[in-house]
Amino acid sequence: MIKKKICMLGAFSVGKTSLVQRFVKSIFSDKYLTTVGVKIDKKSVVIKDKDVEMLLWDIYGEDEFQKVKTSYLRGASGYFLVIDGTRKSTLDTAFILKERAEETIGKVPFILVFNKADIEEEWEIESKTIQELSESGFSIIKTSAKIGMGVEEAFLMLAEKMLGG
Amino acid sequence: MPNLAPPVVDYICDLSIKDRYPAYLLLDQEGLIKEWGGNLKTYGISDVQIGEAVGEKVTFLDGFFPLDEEKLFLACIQTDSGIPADVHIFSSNQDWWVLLLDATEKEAQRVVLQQKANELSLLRDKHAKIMDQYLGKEIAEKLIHLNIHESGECKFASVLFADICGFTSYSEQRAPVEVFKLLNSYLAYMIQPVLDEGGIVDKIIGDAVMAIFGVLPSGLPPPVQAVQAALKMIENMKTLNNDRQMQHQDTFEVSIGIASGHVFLGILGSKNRRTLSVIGHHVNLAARLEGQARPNEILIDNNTFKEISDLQSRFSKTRLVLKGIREPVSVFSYEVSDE
Repeated sequence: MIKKKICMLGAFSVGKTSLVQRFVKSIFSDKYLTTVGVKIDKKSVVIKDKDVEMLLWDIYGEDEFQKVKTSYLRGASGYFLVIDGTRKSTLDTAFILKERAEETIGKVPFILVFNKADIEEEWEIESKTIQELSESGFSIIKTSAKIGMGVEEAFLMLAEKMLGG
Repeated sequence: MPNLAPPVVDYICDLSIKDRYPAYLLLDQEGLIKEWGGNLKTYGISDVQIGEAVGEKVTFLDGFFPLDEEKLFLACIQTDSGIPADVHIFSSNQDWWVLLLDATEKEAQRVVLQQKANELSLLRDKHAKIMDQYLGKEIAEKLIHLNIHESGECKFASVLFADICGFTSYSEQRAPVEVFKLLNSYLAYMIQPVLDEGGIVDKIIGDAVMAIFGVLPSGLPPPVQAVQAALKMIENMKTLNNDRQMQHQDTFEVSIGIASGHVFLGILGSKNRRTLSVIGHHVNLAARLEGQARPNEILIDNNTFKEISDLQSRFSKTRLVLKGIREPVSVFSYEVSDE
């Protein structure tokens, strides 16, 4: 069994916990509950005939009072930068976190996850911006933890990238 | 270490580990377990073996060793038992000590504070977004820094009323969904010029817009801002109508009234619902002028006319009897041709 540590990074209330809960337990709650510290979940998947145990580190969201400590990232093989499409500022936070992650663990696979796709009509982030990011070479996926859209795909996509696919 | 009596030191030690169920692991440089102690089971760690890789036994320590720092602190990590722990890692004699302390109480306290702070932050963003939607981002930001006294203040301002001609009777024969869609497309073309010229959209009443110029700082006199906005509004309507005509859709014109003078600006409402409001003779006058204006016509009062030197040549003088005003008043009209 191959073990891979994956970190969920992003601003607060972008849906990191909801994405993990949707992926691991197929559940979703509309109620926002902040994460303090780190919650760890596991899920086993099969990628290219290989059993992979994903250790999902759901790290507290970055806010104006507390920065995310990059020590939590040690040993991570990949990470998600989660963005709330309805809050433009969360894209900036994602890129700040990307810089800090790279300083700690170097260049490992990551995916930009634009969450809350079920309310895309309320998004502040324009599709043009996402298109440009995609054209610049970033791996991007739109998800909705609420309706389950793109969630499984996001985790499998990262797992494949981590296995060198 | 300060010079403290042994009982004091003991007391401090007891205090710092009280209710925190300390447990530890001693690891070699590669992260292989050498020794352990304390309440490891509290954290879901059992059947520990000497020489075992710590990552195999303790999920959250997987991938951490060898460590290139002298010490590391990881706050509130959820352990295998579900209990959150503060994890202190520090080196001594080329070995690593991993100290676990129960963080249940600390986490509970932080959740309350962090939840409140984040909810407030989200609420603040939501309010800012609503302000941006209604006033335009730039104006909303300026308004935040504008100190308007609740008791009100007297200000020289220009008030603009614009109305879509014939829309009320048209809307009575249409489904509400269709009416709102159409109205929103027209209002967007009417509101943008107000925002572009530095005005505030004070009210949207059905198919009518009331805007104020002179509240926000601007390099132009309020009458010039208002008349420029009115001209752009009519231009915009022409563009929209051309598009609609090509699609064989109904079209509408706008009538506009502008009056300038000293108005009272202040906050009106009750504790739970307040709004920035402007009242005074010139507000009523602008509404009356709009009521008299024909489709594609801008009617302005004498005060406005006096201040728009570069635009004066477009306007022609006329006299009108306005509701509520005994004597006929001199007003200035600019009627845009259909071409």
